[in-house]
This record gives sequence, structure tokens and C-alpha cells, in this order.
Amino acid sequence: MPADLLQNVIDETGCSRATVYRALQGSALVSEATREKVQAVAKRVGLRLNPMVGEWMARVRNSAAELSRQPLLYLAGHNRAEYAKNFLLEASWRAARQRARELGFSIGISYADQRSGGWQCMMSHIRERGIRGVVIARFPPGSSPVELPWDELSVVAIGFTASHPPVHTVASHGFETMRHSMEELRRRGYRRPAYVGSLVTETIGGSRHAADFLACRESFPEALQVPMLRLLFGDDLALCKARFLRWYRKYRPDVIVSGGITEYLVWLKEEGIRVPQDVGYFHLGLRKGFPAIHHAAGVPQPGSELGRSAVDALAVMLYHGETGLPASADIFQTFSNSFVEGRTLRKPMTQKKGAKS
Amino acid sequence: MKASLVSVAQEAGVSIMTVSRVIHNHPKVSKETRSRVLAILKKQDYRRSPFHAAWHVSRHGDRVATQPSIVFLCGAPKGGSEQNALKAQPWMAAIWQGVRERAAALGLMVDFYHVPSGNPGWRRITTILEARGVNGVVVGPLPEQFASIELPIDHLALAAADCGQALGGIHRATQNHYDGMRRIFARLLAAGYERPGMVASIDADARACQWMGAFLERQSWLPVKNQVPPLRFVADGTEREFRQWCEASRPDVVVTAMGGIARWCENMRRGRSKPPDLFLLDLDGPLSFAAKRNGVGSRVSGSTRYSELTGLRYPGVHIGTAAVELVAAQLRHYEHGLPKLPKTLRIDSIFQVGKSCRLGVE
Repeated sequence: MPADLLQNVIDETGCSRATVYRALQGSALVSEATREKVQAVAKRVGLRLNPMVGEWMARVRNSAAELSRQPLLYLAGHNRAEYAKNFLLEASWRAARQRARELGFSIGISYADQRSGGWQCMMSHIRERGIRGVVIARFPPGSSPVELPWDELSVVAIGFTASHPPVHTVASHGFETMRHSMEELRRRGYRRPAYVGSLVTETIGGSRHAADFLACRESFPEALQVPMLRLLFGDDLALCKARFLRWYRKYRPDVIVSGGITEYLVWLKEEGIRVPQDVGYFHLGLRKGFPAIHHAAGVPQPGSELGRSAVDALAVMLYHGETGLPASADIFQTFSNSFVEGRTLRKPMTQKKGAKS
Repeated sequence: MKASLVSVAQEAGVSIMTVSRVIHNHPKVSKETRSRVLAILKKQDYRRSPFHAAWHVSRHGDRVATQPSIVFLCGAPKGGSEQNALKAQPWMAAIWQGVRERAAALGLMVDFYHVPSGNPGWRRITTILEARGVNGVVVGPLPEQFASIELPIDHLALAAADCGQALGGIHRATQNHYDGMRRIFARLLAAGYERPGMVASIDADARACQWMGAFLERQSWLPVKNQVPPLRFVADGTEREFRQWCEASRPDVVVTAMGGIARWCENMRRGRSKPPDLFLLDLDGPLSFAAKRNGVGSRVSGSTRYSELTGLRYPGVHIGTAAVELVAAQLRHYEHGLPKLPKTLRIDSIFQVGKSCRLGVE
């Protein structure tokens, strides 16, 4: 329990530490007047008992008392079939379960298709099982807002896909990933990297890829003249292709960085532009566990890192008894350097050639 | 058989207390014993109950420790004392305030340790940490010349407050540059500005680069005729460059972390040319101080004061708070050394509404 808040209550009520604890537990050893006084002050300063500690103490005093079996819940926004298909969703859930085990928690998963009773049903499920912490996993676009008994829970969200009140969120460290990716390109002698994105995916992702690319490009003076290209993939792929090729021929980037689809590689091939001899290609959203499309080099989309970090953050909140919506929602960005070699980049330069840079 | 302290102690041939000390990362266990016990803990797959962990936090966290359990490391000017280090670098004082307050709330006692820029004396610091049984370190901003931190990292829980670049791969609390810039941009456009420009000294500072990246991304959505090319300074740049850029690209508002530009705008006004409005990033943070020290307008002078500028305030106290929480979280999990998955905690900055530019509603 926060030492400063406890001290506030002690100072204000003039009660001893032990009396404050007893009063908060509703012990009969404390007079009703004192109990009410302490509880009122505690409520005002925001001091609460950690229910997990209560459970543990009950267990210590009475070994027959049971601890809640499953204090954590992984709230999956997609249905079970989707999880079986999508490696990323699966990886995130597996990592969350693994980390929970390491910390001694057990964690259950609840899929979207099991929630036929709606959020009301979900809430009673949470209360019945004694769930204390919830990880909100990724949700498909257009999902209804998440409704949980926020006051009673510690909650951490993965990414920004679900709609709910602001809670602590784990996300991938796009800037750091981009910085390492661009350094990899530099090692291979690339000097004019350029970015191509799809307008639609950009908007969903808050344009982070584009901003991170522009930030990291600051250290490539030659590349500053090459504008970003953003295509609106609608029905007219031919128009997109024409725009892409016009842009490519005008600005001649030596490597193309992209986060969305890999159509560009097909277009280049159709025009007889060779990859990686004429231009390199770096993909920002490789899908781990899938055969790499066109053997592209790049970095995989984050999956397991996020599940792991989410449980990490949740565990600490539970230890400290932090329940309810946070006063200010934090963003935890995780980073793991995970470059995947492919056939779309030239080999790193030899020491002799690269010695100058 | 379920693993317990007893089963682990038996296999390792040590007392239960020793096993407990290893789990709690107590410094008074020899390296050999520690690694042997850790191996057996792993082999037997020993796991603490999270309920017990919560109880342990509650038991030991409800009063402030009487012995320092973590230290705050920060750089100091040569031969400077603690007082000087904080006075000369107010943003660091803010971080320290956050560290101190949050540590007290978590029942940790924290010591301030400044690292002199000439001779860091890592060995001495190591000895002190070991003698006092300190196993958590908040790494504050350190002088740039330190290539590395030579501390027994394997036995410490570490987190960096802001961009202490000397040590990669550890948890870090820093500003939310990306979302900050997006909000600035939205509020400037809402106030009716059409041609925002940016001035940055981008050599080797990731902070300035991230702001620039977010700015350029937002700018790319403006009509092409309103896309003011940014002014990139190598090192500090000169007033003349700035003036020429203003005349050529006519930005109606300038976003920058370089505090001295306020004075250049003042000079332009005196010279009867209309300066652009000004939004200052990092109003009282390390970047604007670095710029001042390096002479981009040594200080904001004349009628302009920092408190009258519009800009982002440096969230130093929050950064300190968050860094302590990152260290405490590792101590609670009895984890130390470089983390498997370093985390960066992003803190939102606070807008200061002054007179140097208008701000709309997001």
C-alpha cells in the first residue's frame, strides 16, 4: 500500500498503523466511530487495501481458504477460429500465458464469439471467477466499445485497436525498430531510402510508420529530396502502379521501405526492374511463421513481445493494488531487434568498402 | 514434487534463508552460490505465488525504508556538488523530485549520486552500491562523453530517466514526442495557422529527430504550397540563416526546441520585419538548455520570458516517477540485469499557453 497515502491517513486520523489496517478491514476490534472516520479519510486520499493481500492473509490464517484460481483474463477481440488462423494473435496470447506462468499467475482467455450474452454476461463472468486483472488484446476494426467493471479491475491494453476508456497500453517501439532497420540499410550501402505506404493502413496505424521513417531519414542527407509516396488502393490498381512507377523513375530511390502490401515487388518485376540489383526492398510488416512473400527482407510485426509486456505491466499493478482507471494512461513501448534477412536487399558491404562510413 | 524453498535448499546444500536471499537479489550472497541456486530454481521450476508477492509488497512497501535501496545517478558539472548539479540543470531537479516522491510512496529510500564529468569513478560507485546493499539504479541524464556505464549490471535493476543514451537495452521513461507533435500540429491548424515551419538541430539527437519525423508526417497532409521546408541546423546555426529562411519560406508559425530563437524573433521585430509566431518544444527541458549553453541566443532576453512563451513543458517530474516505477517493478519481480524486452514508457508533455502563438482546440 502506498506509504505516503498511508502516512496521510495516520496523520489525519491520529490512529496507529495497526488501527488503520484494522479499520479498513472492517475489524470489530475497532469502534464503529473510528472505523467510519478512518474509512472516510482513506476514501478521500485514495488509500485502498489490496484484495490480493487479503486473500493471501486469509490463506495464511486458514489453510483451507482457497486462493482465486484464475486472477487474470486475456480478452480476445477476435473469435477462436481467427486465433487458430492468425499467427500474430496466437503468438501474443501464448507469450502472455508464458509470462503469467513465470510470475505464478494463471490466465484464461475469452474469445469474442463466446460473449453471446454481451458485456453484461462478461461482467458477471469476471466477478464469479474472481478475476482481478484483464489484458485487452487486439480488436478487429469496428468492434463495439469494451465494457468492463473498470473500478474493480487492473487493465492493460495491447495496441490501440479496441475502444475503451484510457488505460495503460503496450505497443511496439516503432521508432527504435525503424532506427535499427535504417542502420541495417546503411550498412548495406544504401543512401537514398524512400517510403511507400497505403493511405488506408496509414490512417488506422496513426501514420506512425511514416513519421518514424521521416525521423530516421534525417541522417540520410541524400534521401531528403525523395518525397514519401502514399497510395490509395481502391479498385484501380493500374492507376496506383502508374503513380508508383512515375514516382520511382523520377526520384530513383536505392531502396524502398514499405509497411503494407508487397504489390510493389510485382510491379517492379513486371517493368523489368531488378530487385535487389536495381533497387532494394525492405518490408516493415513481415508475418512471423508465414513463408516470406517474395522472400522479402525486413522486420516482423510484433506479437509475442506485446503479450509478454502486457502481463508484466498487469502484474505490477496487481502487486500494488492499483485498480480502476488510471489518472494518466501510460504507453509502454517494447522493442526487440529482429531483422529478418531476405533476397530483396544486397549483402552488407565489406569492411573495406564500408570503412569510410 | 512441487518445488519449494526447502527442496531447492536441499539440492543446493544451502540454508532456506540463502535461497530466499538469492530470490530477493540480496547482495550478500556470493556469485558462485547465487548462480548455483538460480540454476536449481530454474531446474525445479520454482514459482512464487503472486498473492504472496502482493503481500510482500504490502508488508515492505507501507513504510519508507531506512536504508537506501535505490540510487539516482546523474551527471554533474566538473567538481560540482549535488546542489550545483541540480541548480545548473533544472530539468534534472524536476526528474529528481519525481524520483524522490515516487520512491517514498513505494517504500523505497533513494540516494542521489552525481557522476563527475571528468572522472566517473565507476569502481568507487560499485563499491558504494555493494556496501550499502543497493540493487536498483535510476540512470538520469549523464554527460554525453560516457560511452558506457561500468556498473555490475547483472545484479542491478535499472531504468533510464529520459534519454541517457549511455546505456542501451534498459527500460526507459521519456517524452511522448510523437503524439505530442500530432497534438501541437492539430492545435496550430485549429488556431488558423496555414504554414507551420520547423527549426531543429538534428545532429545525433533522437529527441529532435522524433519530433521532426512526426512534424514532417503531419505536414505532408497540407496543400503542397503550404509545406514549408524545415530548417535543419548542423550544430547550432546562425541568426542569419534563420532570417533568410523566414524570408524565403514565410512560415506563419515556427515550431522548435531551440530556446534562443525567441531572441532572434525579437531582433527581427526590432528590425521592423515581422517575425513568425513561435511554439517552443521542450520549454524547460534539456534540449532548450543545451541550445542555450551552445549559444543559440544565450538566453531569452528582452521582453520575452519563458513563462510567456507558448510551448510544451518538460514533464520531468513524471519522467522521474515513471523511471522509479520501472525499477520498482523489476525489484518486485526479483529481476535484474538487462531485461529480455526493454520497455520505453512514453509520458505526455503539458501545454503552456503563452503569448508567442495562438492555440486552437484539438
